[in-house]
Amino acid sequence: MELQLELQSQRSPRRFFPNPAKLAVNALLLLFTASCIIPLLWIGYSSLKTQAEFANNILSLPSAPQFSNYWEAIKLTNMLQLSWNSARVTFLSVIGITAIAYVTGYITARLDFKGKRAMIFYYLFGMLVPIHALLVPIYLLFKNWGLADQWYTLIIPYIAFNLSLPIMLVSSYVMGIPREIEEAAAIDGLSFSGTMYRIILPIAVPVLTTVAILQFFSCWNEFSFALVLLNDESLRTVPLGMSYFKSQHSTNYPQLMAGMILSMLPVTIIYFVFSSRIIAGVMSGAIKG
Amino acid sequence: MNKRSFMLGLMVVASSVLSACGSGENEESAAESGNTITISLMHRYQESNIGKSPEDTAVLDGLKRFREDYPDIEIIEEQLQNEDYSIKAQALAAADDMPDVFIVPGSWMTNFVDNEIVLPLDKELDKRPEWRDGYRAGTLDAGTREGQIYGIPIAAGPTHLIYYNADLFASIGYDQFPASWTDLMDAGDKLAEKGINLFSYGDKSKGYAMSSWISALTDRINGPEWTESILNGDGAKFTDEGFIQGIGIMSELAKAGYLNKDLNSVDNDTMVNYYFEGRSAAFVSGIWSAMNIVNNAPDEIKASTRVAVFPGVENGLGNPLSSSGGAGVYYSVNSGVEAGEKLDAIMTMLEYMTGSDSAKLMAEVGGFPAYDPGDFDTGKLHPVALAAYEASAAADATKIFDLWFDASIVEVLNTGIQGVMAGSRTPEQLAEETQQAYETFLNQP
Repeated sequence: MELQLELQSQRSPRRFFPNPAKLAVNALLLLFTASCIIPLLWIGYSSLKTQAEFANNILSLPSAPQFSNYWEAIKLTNMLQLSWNSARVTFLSVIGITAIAYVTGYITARLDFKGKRAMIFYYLFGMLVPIHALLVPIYLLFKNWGLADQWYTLIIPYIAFNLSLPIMLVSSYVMGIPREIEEAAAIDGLSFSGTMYRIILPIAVPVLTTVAILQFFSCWNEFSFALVLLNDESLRTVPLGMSYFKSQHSTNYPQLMAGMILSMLPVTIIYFVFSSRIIAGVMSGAIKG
Repeated sequence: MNKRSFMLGLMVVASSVLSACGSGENEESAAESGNTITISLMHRYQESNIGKSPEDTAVLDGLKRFREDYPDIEIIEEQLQNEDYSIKAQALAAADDMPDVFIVPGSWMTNFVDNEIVLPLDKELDKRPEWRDGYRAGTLDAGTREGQIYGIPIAAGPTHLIYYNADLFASIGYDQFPASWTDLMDAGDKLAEKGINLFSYGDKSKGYAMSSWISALTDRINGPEWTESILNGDGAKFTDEGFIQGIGIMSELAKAGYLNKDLNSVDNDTMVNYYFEGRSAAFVSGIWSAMNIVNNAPDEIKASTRVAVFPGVENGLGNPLSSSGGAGVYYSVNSGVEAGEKLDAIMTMLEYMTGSDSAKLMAEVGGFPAYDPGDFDTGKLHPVALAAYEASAAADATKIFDLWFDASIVEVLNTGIQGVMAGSRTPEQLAEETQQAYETFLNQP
């Protein structure tokens, strides 16, 4: 209470004219925001233009909205099939990532064992290796083990390549949970795994939600593995489908943009529904309680 | 041996992984089950481009006809978009796991031949002389190494044509495209007064300058013998006056302000859009832009577009009407395919996809096939597409540098020309740098 009063008294009185420095910073931030939003708006209204209209003036508004672009985009790319493929691969990968990240993150946070530092470094190292350097060896492995071109093919690299960050997030979150809770559970006779799943797992739900949502975006948008590891057209994912709008020397931009909007829709909805959780989750674990 | 590239290294890694795995699946998949022939085919032609792109339309029509005529042959086809194809094909080639039939851009051919990824096709083509001899002169060249044909060309066509707005040129007193460089500069000046660029230009992807400008200009000035001499290491130099003059012409157009200022940061699509918007009176591009104009240009622009090539150069040694061109992309066959029924079937399929009937269709929908289509129905062609076709057929095709020069030289030229166009280096400096890269290449053991 005292602290609050003190803080209030420090606040400067309202001024009629805003502080020019603050104004400048706000203007800058507004400009920055606009630079992020305007391209999205542009994609939105451009998706309603005819190709000739787009070519004539790329910035103008559509004279008569062409909703047929959306229908064409759905037909051309077989959007339902693409979305189903993406959804299946993404959903299962996210479950795998979240589960492995929880167990590994928990263990690295709570247990001391030989080689722990090496293990953490190994996971960190995973963030540094560029995917393109690994495409050929991974392609060979998959081909030789008969794992390429199956409905589950992409799940394996998606889980493997997306583990680093989630493990770090979970680990730092678990470190923030007071050990006393686990000690109390142990005194009550709960085993290690019992504590891990029945006591700490519910507490870790916020960070696991964050992990799941972040990795959902990553898997949904992945392109390189999907391109190289899949040959069967019926297995293609949404990012691959966007190439249907390009030919060697020209691109149907309005249809491509309609396709992009459609492919962004699921991730955008998920983002809006869960945005507060993502932010909360990323912040959690940042401050040690 | 030393010339073998990065890909070979990758292949060594790849093969060691293969042997470590000790799997025999590759052999299994290569074997044909029973009497059915299975052909795997990967290319960059897509169903979704039928009707929009002449090449896609013609090639896929050929494939469809082949499937109808040979229902017993199974084709496992993978269609990919251009850039995606490059990524995937290079990964598969490094893993030595290319499909039976695939596309090889001319600039990859040396690498693929050196690494024995592609099969020589001479013997097979000799069995089909009528088909083999139907290709336009020079179109097989970039798919040929040391006298052996490794690739069947698909489309040819100039990479240098000028599409210009006749109404805009008429408004400054030119009834046709300026016939000399002095006139062209004069037209540039008059257009600049009206706030219009002479040419729109877009070299963001690096390679446009070389494809559509440098190859044609240098040939005008130096003649084709110069290019041959460079390729054979017979004494021609990039520091020769003719090459510097060609680059100088481009640099002058930029310096005079006759091109759009963002010339290095916009791509080809934007360059064409500037023309559609009336911000430029012309643009230089390949024959592929003809159908882009027919399909996408505003009506008044479409109606006033005509086709030309660069004016001749005074005292130039080359054909004043020549245009850089030829085939750039080839169908090749995996070196693992053995002579016999399967190879026969593959050759027949390729004839369906690139031969006479397919060529006719490609020409009728506005493309320029590598195979001479003979007489075809021009009735359906838009005048712009027809003009581009006629200019292409009339032009004397000369070599496109990026298909022929070593990648190290191409890279220096592609990057350096951006500097010249931006005014940060002179044509002489670029010539000097290119010559250095060329000498390094020549001195390789």
